[in-house]
Amino acid sequence: MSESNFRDELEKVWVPKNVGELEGLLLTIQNEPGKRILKHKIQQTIEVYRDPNQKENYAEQHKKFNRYSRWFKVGGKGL
Amino acid sequence: MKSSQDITTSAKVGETLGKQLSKRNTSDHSLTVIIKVISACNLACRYCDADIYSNRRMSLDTVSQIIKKALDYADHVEFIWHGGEPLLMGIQFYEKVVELQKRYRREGQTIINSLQTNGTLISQEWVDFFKANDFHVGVSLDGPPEVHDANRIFKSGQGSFEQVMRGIRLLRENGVEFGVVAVITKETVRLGAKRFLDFFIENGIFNIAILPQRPALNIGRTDALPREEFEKFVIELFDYWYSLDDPRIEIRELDAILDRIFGAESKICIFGGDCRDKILAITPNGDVYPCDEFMFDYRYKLGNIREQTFEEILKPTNPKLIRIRLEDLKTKKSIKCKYSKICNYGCPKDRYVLSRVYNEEGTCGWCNVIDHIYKRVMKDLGKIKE
Repeated sequence: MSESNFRDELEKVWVPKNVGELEGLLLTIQNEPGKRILKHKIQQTIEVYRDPNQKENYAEQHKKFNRYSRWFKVGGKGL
Repeated sequence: MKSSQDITTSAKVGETLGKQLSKRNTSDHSLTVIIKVISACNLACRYCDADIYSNRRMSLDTVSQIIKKALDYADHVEFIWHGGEPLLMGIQFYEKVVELQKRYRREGQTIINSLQTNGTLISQEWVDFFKANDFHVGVSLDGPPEVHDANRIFKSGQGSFEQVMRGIRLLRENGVEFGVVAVITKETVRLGAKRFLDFFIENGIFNIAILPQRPALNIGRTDALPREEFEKFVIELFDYWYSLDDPRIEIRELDAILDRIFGAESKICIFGGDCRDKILAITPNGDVYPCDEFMFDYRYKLGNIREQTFEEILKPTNPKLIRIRLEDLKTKKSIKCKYSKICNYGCPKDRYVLSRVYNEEGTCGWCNVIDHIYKRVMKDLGKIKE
């Protein structure tokens, strides 16, 4: 596969560009029956995006590292 | 069953904490330290890849140095207490840990304590300690007895299922937040994904993490669950979990893949991207490694916390760190998968094992799972036709 074709392939994987796109998605499925896991996850992600400390741009998002435990999601509230 | 209120509270804590952690990462210094307090275990699990026979125990002096130096280095520190079986150190050891954390903590610093146990030694006394000191507990439970007891056995050969479930009941009855980590083995695959998940739901366990059985390289064993079988099982698990459509049931890895598809950060390190200077693991004698997954190979030793500080160990010019990063890059470069922006190239250990042990280049080990989940989600969002 050539370099340009490879990039085209990568482009085919959809990822949200910004929080607006996610909100739009949520609206389109909001009244559909079921899909509760999807609605829940999109809602969660929108809340994270809305955080003023979060960058909206996905490219920036995916560079950052979230240091959750690999053993289990941390649930402690700290000292 | 865990009450719905418990589940909601647990989810809220997770969500809030996720936000807090995300905030920290944007501007603050954070560190996760996996502390192998003991190289001994009361179990002798057949697939174990940890050092459980050298019987080394971390001294209070070493643990004190780790806590002090970690809190000198980072604003937010997660201590993951690990072994061997960390409960074998006794409650007094951890009481001292909490005391040291309070002594060395500076204003505004956050400390999180997590502990991974085989669950067999959990008593009311331990539960009271976890609750009083806000320890988050991960329990290793592989599934129903026919699966769990096939591998997770005492040295006598007897299965540990009953003792683990007794520990879990104590945690639940006392409102201690916990999750389970299940190693996926050939027995799990034989059981099937539906019966696997049903078992946890029937026992009121809604926070589940899955790990593929990996080769125990520290003792030269290369037998493990083949990648294809693991991926097939996880795809079945996703389909069943997704069909239940109950957001209360969290399967850590599947949840993380959905997070990544929607552009959020991964809640687990394997899809998180660069982990090399964020997660460290320390042996009982203070040797520091980049994650406990690499403790089998002395070449990965970064330093010793009794002789150095975290700044010194994590200095970008540390030649060992540079070499490890270059090796990482090499295994990343062979991955041409279009989903790499979702998996972030997966876990360095998985890439190491796949490429070096099984001569399988170009995959993080999750490609087929992510492809399946991605297509299903896109279909449900109306982005692709059936």
